[in-house]
Amino acid sequence: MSRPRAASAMMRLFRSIGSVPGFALKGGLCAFLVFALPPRHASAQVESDPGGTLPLPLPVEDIDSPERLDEVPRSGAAFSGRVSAREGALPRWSASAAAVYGDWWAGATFGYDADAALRRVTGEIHQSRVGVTAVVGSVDVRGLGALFGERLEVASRAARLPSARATAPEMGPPASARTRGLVGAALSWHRPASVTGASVWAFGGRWNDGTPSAEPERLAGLGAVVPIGASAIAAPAVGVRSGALTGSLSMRTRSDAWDAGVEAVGSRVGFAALADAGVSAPPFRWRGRWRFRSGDARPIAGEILAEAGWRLARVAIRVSGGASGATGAVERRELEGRIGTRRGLGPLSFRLGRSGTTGFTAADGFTERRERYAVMDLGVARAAGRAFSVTATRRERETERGARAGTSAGGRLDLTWRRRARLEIRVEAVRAEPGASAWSSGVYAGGSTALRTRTRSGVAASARGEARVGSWSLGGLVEGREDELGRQATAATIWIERRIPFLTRGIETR
Amino acid sequence: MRPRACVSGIAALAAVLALCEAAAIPRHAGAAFELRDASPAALGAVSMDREPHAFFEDAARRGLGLTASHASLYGVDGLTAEEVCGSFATSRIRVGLSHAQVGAPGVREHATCFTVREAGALPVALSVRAERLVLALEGEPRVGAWALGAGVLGRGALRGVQVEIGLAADRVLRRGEPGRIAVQPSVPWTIRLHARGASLEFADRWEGDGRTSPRVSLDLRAGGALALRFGRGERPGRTGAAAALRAGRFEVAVGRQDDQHGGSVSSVAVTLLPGGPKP
Repeated sequence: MSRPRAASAMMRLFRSIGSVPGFALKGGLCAFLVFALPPRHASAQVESDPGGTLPLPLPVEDIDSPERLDEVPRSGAAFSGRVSAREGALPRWSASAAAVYGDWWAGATFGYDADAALRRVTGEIHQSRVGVTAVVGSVDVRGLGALFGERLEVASRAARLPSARATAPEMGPPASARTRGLVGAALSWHRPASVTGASVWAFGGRWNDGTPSAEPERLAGLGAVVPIGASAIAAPAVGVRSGALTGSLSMRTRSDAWDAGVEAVGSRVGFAALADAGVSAPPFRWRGRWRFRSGDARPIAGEILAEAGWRLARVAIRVSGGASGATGAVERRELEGRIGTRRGLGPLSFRLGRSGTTGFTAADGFTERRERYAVMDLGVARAAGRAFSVTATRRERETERGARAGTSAGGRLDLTWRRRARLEIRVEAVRAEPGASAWSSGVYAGGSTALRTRTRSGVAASARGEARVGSWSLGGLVEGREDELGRQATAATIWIERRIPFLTRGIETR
Repeated sequence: MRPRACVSGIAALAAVLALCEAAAIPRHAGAAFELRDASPAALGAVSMDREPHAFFEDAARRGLGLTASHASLYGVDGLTAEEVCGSFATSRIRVGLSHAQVGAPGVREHATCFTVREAGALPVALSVRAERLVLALEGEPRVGAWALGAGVLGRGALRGVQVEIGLAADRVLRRGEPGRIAVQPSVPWTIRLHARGASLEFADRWEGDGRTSPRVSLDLRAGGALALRFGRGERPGRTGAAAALRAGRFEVAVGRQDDQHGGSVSSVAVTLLPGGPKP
């Protein structure tokens, strides 16, 4: 991108900010640009932080799309490259480049695997004045309705109940290497200069499940987002996979005090529905979720969330129950909270829970597993450019031979330098009794942190950082772990990116 | 016969050091360098496996300081631990260089440590520790390893009580002969509560193989001249006591630790304190 064009883009950005009415709105926009663009840690859970306001990480198995944890946001990237290594070998790398010309934006992404074989290619083009985006090649479709994605078998079944979604999906290249995905094309139209405006989208191609023996299946989808008045929105969608039709209708409405959503899906498997509603009456907030899946042995799942929040404290109680597998059920009760202080130690975030999973197998008959768990994060001290906090987790599984516990303890050091560079370092020691499992913090290139299950004692250390020089940014992630037998495992990912300021036109590729 | 002598020597040292900690013998048949400090301050805090907190608050002192200590381990003839440490402190940084040896005639572990830590009452203070670990067996060539660790200390307040929480990644990076040097990573942590004239410390050390050894210690200070430290630890059960007396820039300390197996360690240390303003 030439310097005059870059200067022009910057001027458009400044003019746009200048045209936003109100100091608060400008401040909010600036805060978004400053804080929302860099990778965020911990609170940026992918899709499934049910409470939405409490920042403790979730277990990986409870996250809707765990593969997205490794995706590096590439908003405004003119060039980005990424290399991942594990145990000293170079398993995969990818690179993407983009160019801007007036209202047009075009980009290409290439992904290679360990033996330098080209695994995926994606081309994108966006016209911001009309609001049209086209993607060809390896296409990742994110943000479909929860049940619609499940019935089309392009999204995994979430362990926690999600909310009904009535927005257009995001379509672009897969940002992380994965074997399953769509090879085809996607097209979308968004009403320009509108956040919740109308849109139409479609995708089609062959879906690969990632198993070498399985043949790719034909997959296509078509949908729209239609505003109804000022406070409601509807999103009809249809999809076809190997000739089987799936139809979906999602609606969402909200006012100042409450919001509600519903998703209904009909397919060859049967009918499925998801409904949620919430009321916010400060300091309290209530939310209920309910799901029905026909065809399941236990078709109903539900969740109740009650939350109270004050300036220095927030606490939430979550009670849920639902199906787990074909014949099992899982129940969960959680107390989650955050206690802050005006000065000194804090805040203290905690999650205390109890879960029970029952099932029936031909080999073992009726099985029941009960587990109690606790997660804690305490901010110890904060200074200019530094923050230190400690974390601890405990899982206690009740078995026929007594309780088996897995614990972990460690700390996190966050270093920042003039908003140009940041580094997050974590160290944790894990103790897992025989037959027990423990959690340890896993950091991901996308900026999130999630709890990983460990079955062996050991010490783990990880670091994730990013530095910016002008429009270039360089990021990296290193993880090392050594277990009780002295076995070591290491993994690393680095990425480089050059940004261009075209956010003024409302373009976001991710 | 040389390899057999070497292995038996290492096994003997490992057994002795396991006795020092009265913990499980390291899984790997090599020198684990688990005894890091046998000074009176460490014995009083029942923490021979980590660097202890000083008897007095010396954050305001600047300049050069020297410490020498000698410890007799478990009444075994010739089984001793010696350490010499020099430090230099400025208003922002404290640098330390120490050399310690532990063992019996013919079998010795040598540890040379270089430590850099941020000084002053920073809310978040960092430290880095590099170690050269050498195992010396009589008649055998020396074998060594490098180890690197880092730590962070956070300071806060809770209802008027000063709280320090420290956490370290000890020996997480290592280079050396894996066969004879069986150093493992660990995560020691401390929670220290400060009140006027007294400090209470809870500490533990989470080893890579899952072992822990929780401990608690109490510091009592009578002005700036006398300090007493009492400690109690579990897994293994152990009790420690130490006293330090100051006169001018000199400090003399004695300490003793007894464990549930009947073993005892006693030591004495002499310190030349840094100059500069007194606390």
